[in-house]
Amino acid sequence: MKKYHFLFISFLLPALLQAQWKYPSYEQIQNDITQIGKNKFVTQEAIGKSHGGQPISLLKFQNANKNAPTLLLVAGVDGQHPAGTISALHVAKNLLKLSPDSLSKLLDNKSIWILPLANPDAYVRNASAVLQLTSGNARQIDNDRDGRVDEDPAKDLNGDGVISQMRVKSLAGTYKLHSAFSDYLLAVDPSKGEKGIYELYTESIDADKDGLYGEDGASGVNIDRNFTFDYGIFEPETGEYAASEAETKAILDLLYENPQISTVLHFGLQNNLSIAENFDKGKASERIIKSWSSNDAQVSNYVTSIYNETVKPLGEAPKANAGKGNFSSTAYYHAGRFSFVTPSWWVPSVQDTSKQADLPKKAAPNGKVPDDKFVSWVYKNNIEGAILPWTKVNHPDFPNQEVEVGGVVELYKNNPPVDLLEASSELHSNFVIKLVQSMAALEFSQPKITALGNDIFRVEMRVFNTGGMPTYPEIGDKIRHVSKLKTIIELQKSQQFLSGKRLELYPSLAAGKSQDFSWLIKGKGKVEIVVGCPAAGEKTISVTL
Amino acid sequence: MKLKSLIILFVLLYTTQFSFAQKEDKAVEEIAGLRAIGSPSNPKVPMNWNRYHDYKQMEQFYKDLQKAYPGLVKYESIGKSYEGRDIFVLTVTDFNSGDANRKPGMWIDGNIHANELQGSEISMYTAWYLAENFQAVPFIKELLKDKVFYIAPTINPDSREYFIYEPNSMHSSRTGRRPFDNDGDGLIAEDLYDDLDGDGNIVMMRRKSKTGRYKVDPENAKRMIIAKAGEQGEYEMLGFEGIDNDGDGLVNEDITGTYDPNRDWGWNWQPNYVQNGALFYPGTLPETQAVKNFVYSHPNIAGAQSYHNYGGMILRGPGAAEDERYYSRKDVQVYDALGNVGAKILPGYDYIVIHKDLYTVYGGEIDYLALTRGIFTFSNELMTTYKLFNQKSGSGFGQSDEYYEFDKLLMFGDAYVDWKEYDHPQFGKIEIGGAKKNYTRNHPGFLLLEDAHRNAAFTIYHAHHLPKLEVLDAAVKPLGGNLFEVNATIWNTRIIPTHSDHDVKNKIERPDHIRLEGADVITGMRVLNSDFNETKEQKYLPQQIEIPTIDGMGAVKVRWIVKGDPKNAKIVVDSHKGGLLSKNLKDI
Repeated sequence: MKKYHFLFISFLLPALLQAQWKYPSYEQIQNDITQIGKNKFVTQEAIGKSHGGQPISLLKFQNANKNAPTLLLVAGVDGQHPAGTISALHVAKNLLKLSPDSLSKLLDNKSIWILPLANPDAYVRNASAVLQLTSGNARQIDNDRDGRVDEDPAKDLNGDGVISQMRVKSLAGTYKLHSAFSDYLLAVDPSKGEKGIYELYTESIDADKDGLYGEDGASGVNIDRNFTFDYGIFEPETGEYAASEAETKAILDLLYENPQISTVLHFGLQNNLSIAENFDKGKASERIIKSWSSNDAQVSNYVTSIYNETVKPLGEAPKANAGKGNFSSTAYYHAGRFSFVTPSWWVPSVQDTSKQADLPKKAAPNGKVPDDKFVSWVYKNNIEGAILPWTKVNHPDFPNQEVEVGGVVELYKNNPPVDLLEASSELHSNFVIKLVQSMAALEFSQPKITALGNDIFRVEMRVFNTGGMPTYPEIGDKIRHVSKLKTIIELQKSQQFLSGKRLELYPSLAAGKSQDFSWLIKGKGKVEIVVGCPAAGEKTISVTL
Repeated sequence: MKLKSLIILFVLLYTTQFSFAQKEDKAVEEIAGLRAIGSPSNPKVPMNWNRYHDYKQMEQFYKDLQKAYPGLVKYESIGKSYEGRDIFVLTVTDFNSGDANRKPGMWIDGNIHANELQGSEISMYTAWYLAENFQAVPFIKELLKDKVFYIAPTINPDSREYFIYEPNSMHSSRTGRRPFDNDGDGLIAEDLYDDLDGDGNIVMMRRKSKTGRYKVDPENAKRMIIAKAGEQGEYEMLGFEGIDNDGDGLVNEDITGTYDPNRDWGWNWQPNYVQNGALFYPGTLPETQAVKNFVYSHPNIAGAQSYHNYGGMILRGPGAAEDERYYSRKDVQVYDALGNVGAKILPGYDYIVIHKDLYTVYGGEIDYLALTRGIFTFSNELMTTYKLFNQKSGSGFGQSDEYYEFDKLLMFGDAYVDWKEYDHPQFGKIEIGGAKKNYTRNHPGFLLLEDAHRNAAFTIYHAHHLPKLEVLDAAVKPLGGNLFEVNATIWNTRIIPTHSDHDVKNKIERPDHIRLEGADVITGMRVLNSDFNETKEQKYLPQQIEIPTIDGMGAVKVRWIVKGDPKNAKIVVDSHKGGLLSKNLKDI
């Protein structure tokens, strides 16, 4: 009877879990992308192929002007964040829900490019078989650098179709039971004399007998740790060197080859939106710059105020600092674009916990606030499958110890049941629209021509930035591959410059600022003036002297 | 004498397997009195080593050498350049002995900076010297039996060709041929050099000027010197030959490339505002990717040399001061042991460290090889003013008059373009003249052969000291019952370890494996101290003991407990950088 009961659970549980979590299959995602790509405002392209040969799709929302200043939205860089991909697709669909007039107006002088799944290999792998999210692409890597590949993966020991935690009763344990939720373990605080009763691991066995559990599974190179800024060499999942992966290169090539991309928004596992970038004078003036410049940090503050206002109903987002080799940091520090990142969904902090007296009200002893937020969210909203009851297993590495599997299923922390993403995505769609509307927009005065006599003419004109953000970040002025604010004047053969040059470059133009240009030209005839920069718009004006 | 070499040949033919014997390269007959020591008097591939070679001539040389020595030389393309030229690698080893790709390997490349021509000739000379002396010099024969050379004479073929056939200065075409917008104006390669007088050399422009600070050297009319303080000059210098093609007030500011292929590598890569010359990310260039893929597919590469010019230096990493922490004292000792010998082999060359004694380099090839891959790597900056008169020069590049004197006394005026008048669209009446592109940085012909041999000798020394593993001893001891204990000592008879200290710390290359095959292994361990029976058991796969590194001139001991007499067992030593070795227990 008991055996029968166990079987029943092991067959039914995965289905139950999937029933609530229910992220779409890879095919469904591809289908969604294709459907969106059929809209008349949208073009679908592949910017490259993943290591595993999957196309990396880009959806270009744009009007007639294909070179309009562009917001690039990227998601699914880290395979542990499918919620970002779903949210990015929601944003795409929500944009298409706008009336054709509104959408057309939005895209009049701007484009929105959406790259919903930067790391398709991870989605393919994670969507199959056992429920567990791993970060990397399809490259086989030796994560623990011992000369063997994928020899020690996480293992579904109790056959419930999901990788959760594994606890081992032990005198040397550093975890104890949560006073209110027995399925949830808390780290003890030795400084308070607390004693643990459990050792806590990821559900796995130590296949290569190196004392580590599940440290080398099939997980590939984490694309969000493979970018060039502050790259972490010889660290797990970072790859052999910066930008070693096809996905990383495809995204960087897209940025470098399209100077009209002025702003990048990333739905990922860091956050510089709810909490703005901080200006650190020391770090900003070192040879290797590691802080946003003062002016750029002010722009970050401005965007943060828009963001927090727009997504207010979601409550306070958790702090999540940039790590090494992240995409978003690289987009600012190396590619010279305004770069923002948000998880786009988080465990809500606005929870009415007053009625549940036994819920922890402040930080748990280990200081991990989000964990407790997570617990209360799971129990309050009855998120099935996020924290599992413990079941006994026989474990070959702990022959005479009590080993149980259950507890927290890690993936829920950043990826809620898929239905919950709709509300947060709607708010983020609104933010995308506001961000696009805030991007720099150049207005050009009609050139003023003064005849000084003897066929000498003074040509003057002015350009204004009427947007809420600079043409491109200040750091872009240092970067050769950022196309600068410029003027090019083409003269007739019979004309010559008395003052000024054919080509002049100018620094980034801040919001609300203007830049004056003036030339002295000798000789009558038509003159063609090109003014602007790809990131904020260019205009060609003809005048006759 | 002739009879003796015939006998040697006879013995050789019958001691090697017959099927191989047919492929064995026959010794070329040498007459002792004609053979200058160290050089073949009658080479199968006659070459002039006092000239430079273009792409086509280089490939012809590879073909000829492979045809003449099929058992010693193979050449292959490892990828294409931006303009679609093949990047060739010569594999030089004794193909009749062992698996070439399992021998400790020495990588040699040249000409990453295309104007630095002679790295190619010196690389080619190395391959030629090894092949042509294989039969004559027993040391070379043993070297090619143990080791493999991978030689890439040019890893920037497009730009080499451009340097040779298009107008350039001695400094230009350091880059590759992929066009980029260098001045940020949205246009690509719109302001190139202009060979105003059409002689193929981009030389200097000067203009008569009362405020100019230069004057003609009274000792040598070709030379411009700075007027003394308080003294009026005659000329202003206007830079290299060119005109402002794009009307931005700058001359030659948007030449093709101007990126640096040696800032395109995956170690501490930094963008162009930190490290001028960098592109989008490490490996933006197809040339870099081709070399890098070759290095990854050849984990046996344990030593490397990358030729540059100019200055007479034997450089080691790191390129940036913050990476000093990756050079442990132990690794530096290995570098010193080789580098100091190099300084002796190469008079006028100093053994120094890139970031300390040259300048900071981020994302350089040397760091990639040495630190990302853990390969003991040197980079020689070829040619030095020392070579002109075999003495240290008083002052540096540009200021020294030795080049002018050398030109006068030994080159008889071939090195400089005489000053002549030119009507420039922007500068007006100017004069152009100065050193030809192949002077100062690239060796004059007669010095090229000597430096080729000296540098080849240094890489041969380097390759000789790549690890060589031997089973020093092995013993079987019955333990009673049906149990036996097998003890073995493996040692490395050369200076370079199988893993650098940096490699061990960061686990770059997998550990060395010492396996007992054909025995029923119950347990295995590393013996840390055999006198006091200090051991470290290996629980996982005990038949294959994993050793982090076998140090230069060092030994490791391993032990297995086996069931049954292991009389038919063999010991296999399997090291990526140390080679593959298999010995039957009973033969040891």
